[in-house]
Parts: sequence; C-alpha cells; structure tokens
Amino acid sequence: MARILVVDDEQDVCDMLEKFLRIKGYEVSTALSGEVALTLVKEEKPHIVLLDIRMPEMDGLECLERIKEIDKEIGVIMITALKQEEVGKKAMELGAYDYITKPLSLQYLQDCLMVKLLQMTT
Amino acid sequence: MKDKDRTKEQLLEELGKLRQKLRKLEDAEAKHKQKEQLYKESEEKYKLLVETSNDMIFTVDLGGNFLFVNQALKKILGYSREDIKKINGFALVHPEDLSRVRKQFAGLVEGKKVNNMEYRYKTKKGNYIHILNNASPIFSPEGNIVAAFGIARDITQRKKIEEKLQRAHDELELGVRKRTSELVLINKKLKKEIEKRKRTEQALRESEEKYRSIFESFQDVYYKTDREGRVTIISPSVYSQAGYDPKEMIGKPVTDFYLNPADREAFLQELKKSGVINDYELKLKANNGRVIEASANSRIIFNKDGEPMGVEGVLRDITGRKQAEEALRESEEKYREIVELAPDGILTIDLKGVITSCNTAFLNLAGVSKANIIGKHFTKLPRVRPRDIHKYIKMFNTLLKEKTPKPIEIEWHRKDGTTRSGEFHVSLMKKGPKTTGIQVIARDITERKRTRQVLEESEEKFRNLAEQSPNMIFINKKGRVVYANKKCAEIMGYKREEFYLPDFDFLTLIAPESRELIRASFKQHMKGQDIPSYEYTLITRDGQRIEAIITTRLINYDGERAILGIITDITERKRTEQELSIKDWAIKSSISAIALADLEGNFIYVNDSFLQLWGYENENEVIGKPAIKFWRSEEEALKITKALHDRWNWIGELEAIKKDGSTFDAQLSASMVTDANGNPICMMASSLDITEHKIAEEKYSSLYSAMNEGVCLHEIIYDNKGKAVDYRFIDINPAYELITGLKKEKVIGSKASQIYRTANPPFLNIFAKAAETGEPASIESYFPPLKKYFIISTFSPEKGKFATVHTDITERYETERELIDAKEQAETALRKLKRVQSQLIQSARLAALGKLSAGIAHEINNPLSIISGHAQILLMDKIADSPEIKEPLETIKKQVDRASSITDQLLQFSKRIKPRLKKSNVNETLKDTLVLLRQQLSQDKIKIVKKLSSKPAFIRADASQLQQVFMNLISNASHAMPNGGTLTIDTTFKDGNLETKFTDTGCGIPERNLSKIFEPFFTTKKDGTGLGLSIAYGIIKAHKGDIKVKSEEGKGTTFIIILPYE
Repeated sequence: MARILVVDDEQDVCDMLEKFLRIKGYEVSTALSGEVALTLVKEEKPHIVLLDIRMPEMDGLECLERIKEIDKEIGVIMITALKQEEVGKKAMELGAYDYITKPLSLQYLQDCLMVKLLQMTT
Repeated sequence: MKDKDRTKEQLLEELGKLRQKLRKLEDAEAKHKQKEQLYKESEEKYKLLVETSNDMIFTVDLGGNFLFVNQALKKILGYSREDIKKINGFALVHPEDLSRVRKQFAGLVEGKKVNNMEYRYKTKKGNYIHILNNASPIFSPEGNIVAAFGIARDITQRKKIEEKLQRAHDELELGVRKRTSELVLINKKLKKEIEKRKRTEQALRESEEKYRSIFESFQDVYYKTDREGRVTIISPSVYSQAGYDPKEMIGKPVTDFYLNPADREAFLQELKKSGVINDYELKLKANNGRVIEASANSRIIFNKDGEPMGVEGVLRDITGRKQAEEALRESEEKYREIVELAPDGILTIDLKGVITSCNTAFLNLAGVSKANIIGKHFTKLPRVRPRDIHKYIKMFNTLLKEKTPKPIEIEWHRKDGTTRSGEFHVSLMKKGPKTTGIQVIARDITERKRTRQVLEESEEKFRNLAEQSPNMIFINKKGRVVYANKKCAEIMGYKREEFYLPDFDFLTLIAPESRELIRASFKQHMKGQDIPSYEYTLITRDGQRIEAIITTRLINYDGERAILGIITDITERKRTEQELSIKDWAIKSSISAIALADLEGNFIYVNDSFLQLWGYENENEVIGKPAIKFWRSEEEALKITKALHDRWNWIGELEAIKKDGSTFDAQLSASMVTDANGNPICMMASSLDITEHKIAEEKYSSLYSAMNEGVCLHEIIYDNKGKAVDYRFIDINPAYELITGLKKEKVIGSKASQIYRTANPPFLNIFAKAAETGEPASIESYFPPLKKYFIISTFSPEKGKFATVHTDITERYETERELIDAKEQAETALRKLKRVQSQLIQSARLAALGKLSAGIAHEINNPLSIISGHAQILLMDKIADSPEIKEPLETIKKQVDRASSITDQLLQFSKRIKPRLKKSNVNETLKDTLVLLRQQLSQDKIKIVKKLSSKPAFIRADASQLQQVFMNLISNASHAMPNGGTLTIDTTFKDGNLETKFTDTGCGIPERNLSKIFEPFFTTKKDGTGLGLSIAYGIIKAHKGDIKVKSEEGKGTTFIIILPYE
C-alpha cells in the first residue's frame, strides 16, 4: 500500500486531501507544518509527499530540500495556491516531481500520483 | 515772241475768216477736184452721199448744161440721165423765173454764191415744180470758175401755199430784178466779148454793136490813142472814174494823164513785145490829182498793112484793189518774216500736194535742205515713217470736210539719224475765196515730249514721295488745293476729295491769326518771289491746333503757276522745345553746379551755380577748359572721366579747386549723356559743396565712431523678382567692429550671408520690411552668428537701405539666462523628483497590488481548493449518481474554477509575465487579431487599411502576448474614432527591426498626456482600468522592443511597435 504524506498548514485542505486519497485506497498521513512533515518522513517513510509551497515558518521549498536530504527517492509533488511558474520551476530543480496549483484538480492529482508510483516501483 | 505769235494768229484768223466766206461756194468743186486728185475713196463716200441725198444735186457748166445730176434730181424731175445731158439747165426754168435764174447764174459765174433761190422748173411731164436752190461756183485748180454746183429742193408743196400770198410781191420785184439781171447779164456777156475781141479782131468786130450799146454804161474806161499817143476815143466812164470830161480829153497826149509821163515809154516797150498787154498796171492821175492805180488791157492797133496805128485798150481803176493788194503784200511780207522767224516749222503745200514753201525752222526740224523739199510732193518728204501715213490721210480727210483737223503728232528720222517728234497743225490756205493750198505748222515737240515724260516720271516720283512723306504736302493753284498728300488728310481730318472740291476754302485750315500771313506769302509767291519757311498754326477739322512750319515753292503745275507746300507738324517739337527750355531753365537755376563737358573732357556748358561755387565770374573763363583742372587731384578727376566712358556714371566725393586756389569738398554726380541709340554725347556733372555737410557729417561720424552701440548700414539685395534675398554691408562703426570682432575692411561690400556664414542672412525679413516701409523695428534676440544677445534697432535712411544699431545685451542676457537656467534646473529636478516620486508611488502601488493579488489569490485559492476538492470527492461518491446531488456539485466546481481564473488574471496584471518566445509571423498575428475584432470594428465604422510587408514578418515573439498588445492598440484607436474613421496598419522592416504602425484618424492625444499614457492606471476613459497600454508597454519591453507614439490633436495618433527582427 502506497503511503502518502499530505503537508499543508490548513487543516481543511489536509482533511479534504486525506479523505480523497483514502477513497482512492492510499495510506495517508497529514502534517500541518514542515517540521512535522520532516519527522513523519523519517518515521513513516512515505512514498510520496504532497507539499504545499506557501506555509508559515518552514515553507514548501525548504521542506522539499530537507525531505530530499532525508530520502532522495521520496516523490514530492508541490502544491501551490498561485500559478507561479518560477517557483514551480525552482521546486522541480530542487527535486520535486511535479507541481499542481490550487484549486486542485483531483483527477489530475490522482493521475500524477499513479504515474509517480509506477516509476518508483519499476 | 508771244506778240509775233499773236499777230500771226490774228492774221491767220483773218485769213481764215475770209476763206470761210468763200469756201462754202467753193465747196463742191474743191471737194470734187481734191477727191479726183487725191482720194478716190473719199470721192466714193461723197458720191454715195450725193446719190442718196433727197435733195437734187447737180453741176452745170458755165453755159448751164448739166454735167452731173444725182438720183434725186432725176427722180423728182423725171428725166433720165440721157435726157438731162441733152438739156440746158435754163431751158426748163419757168419763163417767168428764167431771167432771175440767169442773173443769179451770172453772179455765180463771177463767184457769187447763190442762196435760197426759188424758181419753177419744168418736169418731164410738163408741169412746173417749185425749187429752192443753192449754188456755188466750182473752181479749177488754177482758180478759175469752170462750173457751178447746185443743191435744189422741191418746195412745190410749200410754195403752193405761199404762192398766193407772195405772188403780188414777187411780181413786183420780178420786174425790178429782171431789168437788173438783164443789164448785168449783158454787161457780162459784153465783157466776155471784149475778152474775145482782145484775142481776135473778128470777135471784136462782130460784137461792135453790142460794144457800142454798153459803151455808155461801161464802168471801165475804153481808150484809143493814135500813133502819136494822143487820145482819140475815150469812153464816158472816164468822167465817173477820173473826173475828166471825155470831150476835153480828145486830142490830148495820153501822157497828160500819166502820173509819171515817163511810164509811157515802159508801157510801150512792154506792149511792143507781143502787141498785146494784159493787166498792165499804170499809175494815172485823176482830174483832181488823185492817183489812180489802173490796170490796162491794151493792144497795138494795126492797119491792114500791118503798120501800127495806135493803141486801144480798157483801163480799170484798180486803186482800191491795189491798195488792198499792197496792204496784203505788206502783211504778207510781215507774215513771211514772221513765218521765217517763227520757231515753228511752217510748210505750205499746194492742192496737188506739192510743197511750195517752207521756213528755216521747218528745215531745221526736218533736217533737210530747202532744195530737198521745195517742189517735192509732200508724201516724199524725207523719212516720213510709214506708220504715220494714216495720220496724214485722216488729217486730209478732215480737211476735206472743211473741218480743222486736230494736230497730229508725227515722229520721223532725220538725215543725221536722230528722231524727232513734231506736232502738225494743218489748215487750208485761201487766197480770196479760193483754196490755194494747205498750210502746215510743225512744232518740234521732241523736247517737250521728253520733258513731259521726265515731268511725268518726276511727278510720279513726287507723288510717291509725297504720299510716303511724314510731312503734309499740298499743291495750291490759284487758291485751290489741287493736290494734298495722305498725311494732309490724316492730320487735318478731311478726306482728300474734300480738299479738291471747288468751293473748298483752304484758309479754313489755317488759324485766323495765321491767315493774313499765308495770304500775303502766297501772293508774294505768285509774283515769283521766294519765301523762306515760316511757322504758322493750322486748325484741324475737329478744331485741334497744330503748330506747323511751312516751306513753299513756286512750281509749274499743269502749265500754270502753283504753290507747292510742305508742312511739318512741329507741335511735338514745340512742346519739346518748351520742355527743353524749361529744363534749360531748371539747369540754369539749379542750386547744384551743373557742367557739361565734351567727350574730350572740355567744358561746354556750366550753369550759374557752377560759376558761383568755383568762384568764377564769367562762363568764358571756364568754357573750353579741361574739366579735370577744376579738381584738386587731376589724376582722380581723370579716373572719373575714364570711369564715365566705361560705366556711364560716377557718384562720389571729390575735392574741388576754386579760381582763387582754395578747395572745397564736393559731392559729385557725373554721368555720360547718351543719345537715343546709347552713343555717348557728352559728360554731365552735378556738384554740391558739401564742406558744411561734411563737417556735420564728421560730427555725426565721430559720434558714430564713438558710440558704444554697434551701427551697421546695409543695403538690401533683391533677386530679379524683387524679392529680398540678402543684404550687403555698406558701413560699420568701430563699436560694431569691437562687438563683433569683424573688420570693417573685410565686411564692407560683402553679403551678410557670407560674413555671418549662414544660409539665410539673419533677420532678413525684418530688415527687408524696415528697408521697404521705412518703419523702424526693434528686436531683442540672440544673434547666432556672433553668439551674442542684442537689442537690434533698425531703421531705413532710404529705401532699400537700412541701418542696424546693435546693443550688446549678452552679459545682461547671460545673467538672466543663468537665473533662468537655475530655475529650469530646479524645475527639472523637481520634475525628476516628481517622476521618481510617482514612479516610486507607482511601484509601491504595483508592489502592493502584486502582494495584494498574490495574497488574495492565495487566500482565496485555498478555500476554493477545499470547496472544489470536496465537491470533486463527492462527485466520486455513489451519492453523486443521483443528479440532484451531482448537478449542484458540478456547479460548485465550475464556480470555483471561475473564481480561481479571476484571481489568476489579477495575479497576471500584478506580475510581469515573461513571454514565451517562439518564431511567429507578426502579419499573421495581426490578421488573427483583426478577425477576432472584425465585427466590433465594422460596427464602430472603422475602416482598416492593411499595408503588411510582403515578406513574412517572422520574429521571435509570444504571439498571444502580441495579440494582447494589438487588441489593446486597435481597441484604443477605435475608441479615439467614435464617429468612425480609418485605421492604417502597416508592417515594415527597418534597421534590423520590424516596425508595426497603427495610425488612426481619431481625436489625438493632448500633448500633456503623451508622457503619461503608458503609466499604469492612467486613463481618460470612464470605465478604463488604465492598465491596457501599461501592459502593452510591458509586453513589448519584455520582447526587447520599443513602443512609440506620435499624435496630433484632432488629426490622429500613430503607435509604432518596434520589435527586434532576428
């Protein structure tokens, strides 16, 4: 069972994504901050991390770097509330697999997860 | 000569009259004879005339026998020609009329013409007709009467009426006439008998009885002398003839009755020659001592033995005849003398055509000797040209008709080879009643002819010349205008024919005050005196006065004296003279010293001012002297003289030298005087003493030199159209040199454009206007050529010239300028500050907006994300199978997306979005944009004109961004043309760029707004965001291009987008 960590500073976003991912059969953990997210990455070793870029304290990009320091293999999909391509591109450079913008297209998210998980297993 | 001519003419006239009387009687015979002798042709005509006449025409011999009768006579009387020839004319005369007829006939035989004799004549039928008869004698060529010619008319009808009335009277007269005629007839008959007896004694003896009967009444004196010369018989008529008693004379020596008894011997001598003497002229004396000229017909009487027994004879008193003869002889002699001396050739020809006499003049004329002419037939006259023969014939024909032929003109060659022309006057010569010959008066007209020809030619020439003459030319004959040339008509306003009218008074052409002068001079002229030309005044038809000068000559015009006049219209000349005299006066009284010098330079005229100025008293001191001596520097004066020959005029100043040696400064204006053709005539100089003027000038000049203001004197240079194009320096003062650094020597005479090295001379228009109008002007300006600031005052001392006074205000101006600069700098700084400030404000605004946008986007997107996420999850759930659930969920999702896109846009405006550069064709992008806007543009009545480059406008660009820019610009243009218009869009390659221009015909952008239009939030539109052009600007800048704008209010705006090409 694929493990997915959802990181967003907003509880409702986490809840909504947890609900959707559980429906789709994923094992879901959530974190409301980057620090929590890093602990969970170490503890639970998620396959994929959905990481919100804009967060107080540790932002998404810093968090991304830390996750990659812990485990390069973890697939990180960045979530951003703004269509900021520069940021998206930067995230990709830092090792993010993709970035999706809010409001999220859940369909796109599911397709994206599936593709990444297939890459990781093969 | 004239007198002689006149006498000759009188004589000829007298002779002519005498001839005329007798000629009528001689008519028939003369004509007949001449016809026979000379002209058969003429006779034919004559005969025809005679034969066709209704009057009876006949000739009879002296015995009354018909020689010739015409048809009319035969017809009227009824006799044949044969009958007539057998009939004696008297036999048919009515017995009652016979004696009268005989008497008349007797008179006829003596040469008396019969006029209107009426008598009765017996016709062949035996009845009598009344005849009215005219008759004349016919002369033999020798002058004897040989026959009679008669013309008779049948007046029976008339007569019958008259007869009764006249019978009584006639009968009464008849008796008287009968007796008289009988007497005369007898007398004549006896006379004839005597004649016969003279020749034959027999005849004498036979008629002795008759002789006796007439002896008593005999007018002539019969005498008989014995051998001793004593009178034996003397007829009683001696009493009536000489006053002697015949009885007393018997026995007296005949010499007693001789005026000169010695003549008796001569008489006898003559008588003895042949025994008979006829018409011997003797001078006898009458009883009262009167001299009697007598003609004696005498013979010696012989007895039967042939011894002379005495002399008998008839004496006739011919004193009267003699005297007449004498007179005639004298006159003839005179005449002959005249004839001989006459300049005209005179020739007499007898009736046979033989030349009987001629005068010397004729010989000269004919060029022959007398011997070659006299006795020759006239047709054989030397060298008569055949072609002139007909003229002779015509002339003789005329003569035969008793008319005086017109003079004929004949040319002939003389022996010496010359040709002469003669005018021949021909007339019949009469001696008593007889025609004795023809007289020809020949006048040499060779010279006259030639003269006439020359005259005609010269007249022709005269007329030609006269017609072309600019003067009026006329010929006045006896107060009448007989010729006037064209000019006369032109100037005087009359038609030429009017001049020639008989009642035209030429004095009407002359002003009243001139008439007496004209009349007097014409009169004087007609006396043959020459008149010098004189002036007078003419008056034209319309009353205009013409001053004229007339020259007249006496000429011969058509053989008479006439006056040829040549009139020159001097009105103009007079006016000119007057003008000249005015000008003369002007020159003479001029304040300027005026002098004229000939081309050699010697004075020919000076006026009073000249004398005064140079200190001379009399012009003789000056005239003829070289002009250069009157100037201090002869060398300079000579230069001026030379200059005049080259340039025609010279104006300047020169130092003059007075008579006393002192000098003065003169303003001299000298020029060459030329004639109408431009040839020099003389030199003229006008001088003024300008010593004082100079002093004054010097004062001014020093002021001029000393003043601080720069002063320049210029003259305007005009082009050939009169437009001012430049100006030239005439003078500058030291201040100007100082101010400008220009040197006087360098600038004088040069053009302003050269001196200031400018394309257009500075302030030309202002200066030209001042020079033209004389209105002073003042300008305060930077004078670029000198890089100085001036107040330039300009005024015009004379037209075409202007002076400028330059006050250098550079220092003052620079101070002012510094202040202004400082102020400007401050203002600029302020502006910069403001700009920076506004920029700062704007960027702050933008930053804030960006942050705001980002914040809003973030803050909104999160909830939107949750809403949308949940909706999506729900849609995945089974409950979403129910449409009542699914549809609202879908709506939620859609609305979230919409909200999300709004935040997206907001975010875009707040951020400069980097273009994604791709190779794209701008032309295509434009077309796509226009397709999108097509409907809106057509609605707004905007016409689009595309001028796109033919080459594809490929550049590296973000097509969607460019489209956004284009839409923006097109939309703005459309808004600028609310009532429609044209938008021209063109793309061109230029300097490695692609330029895309949008040109509208809209309201334009106020200049003050031009710098602001690209600022964000600047808008003039009610509902505009103020971001359109700002975004466009951002996009173009992001493409490393540029965007420019040109606009003119009311005309339109052009946006130019410049994008790097390749």
